[in-house]
Amino acid sequence: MADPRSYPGAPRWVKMSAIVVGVLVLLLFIRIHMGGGHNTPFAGGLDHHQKPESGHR
Amino acid sequence: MMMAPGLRKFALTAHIISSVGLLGAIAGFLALAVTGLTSPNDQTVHAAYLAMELIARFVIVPLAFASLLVGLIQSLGTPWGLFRHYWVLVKLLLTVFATIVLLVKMPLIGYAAHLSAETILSRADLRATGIQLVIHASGGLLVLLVPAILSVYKPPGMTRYGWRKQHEQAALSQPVFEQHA
Repeated sequence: MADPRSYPGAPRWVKMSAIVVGVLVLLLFIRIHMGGGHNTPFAGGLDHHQKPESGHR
Repeated sequence: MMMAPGLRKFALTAHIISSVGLLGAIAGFLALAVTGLTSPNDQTVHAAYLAMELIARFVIVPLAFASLLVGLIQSLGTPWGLFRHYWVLVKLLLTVFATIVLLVKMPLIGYAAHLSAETILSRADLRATGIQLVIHASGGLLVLLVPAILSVYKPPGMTRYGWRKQHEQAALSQPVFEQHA
């Protein structure tokens, strides 16, 4: 019989949330690396407008 | 160190005000972002993006930090702790994540206000920036709704650390004669 003082593990809602977050991160990763990268907020406007930061995306 | 009941209630009030205020401010920000994206009137667009920059800088960022700071103080000063219960830990992670994204996106908000202030509006640039702002404001609102829901429902579940601490405290609180029985 299991020791009643042993840790019962993470509850189901935590496991489900972790799976959902994992899937969302994976989808985001795929979108960024498979063709979503061209629609950046500063795309097309850098030559004509002053950019507030120096880093490139 | 546990807080006195009066101080605990004060911290709870400050935490609720800052967290709910943050949600309201982001909802207002989202309304302005949608207006800036969809309005055909240049003056309305300029006013919307200017107001968004002011709201982000003087309302959303201070409220985000206030919510995070008061939440930290409150959790460390009460039996809930910061790492003992999953719902507290998830709240902390989501709030930190939302605050980091907000700070990263602050230049984008300033850029939209700058673009909208130009005499000849560059609609294409402004549209691309506006779409990003609507997406981030919607995402931020959804992400910050989760901590509000968790605070009300407080779903059960202790972390391994919390479980261990609870058993240590239970062992310490048992009378000596019970331990030797």
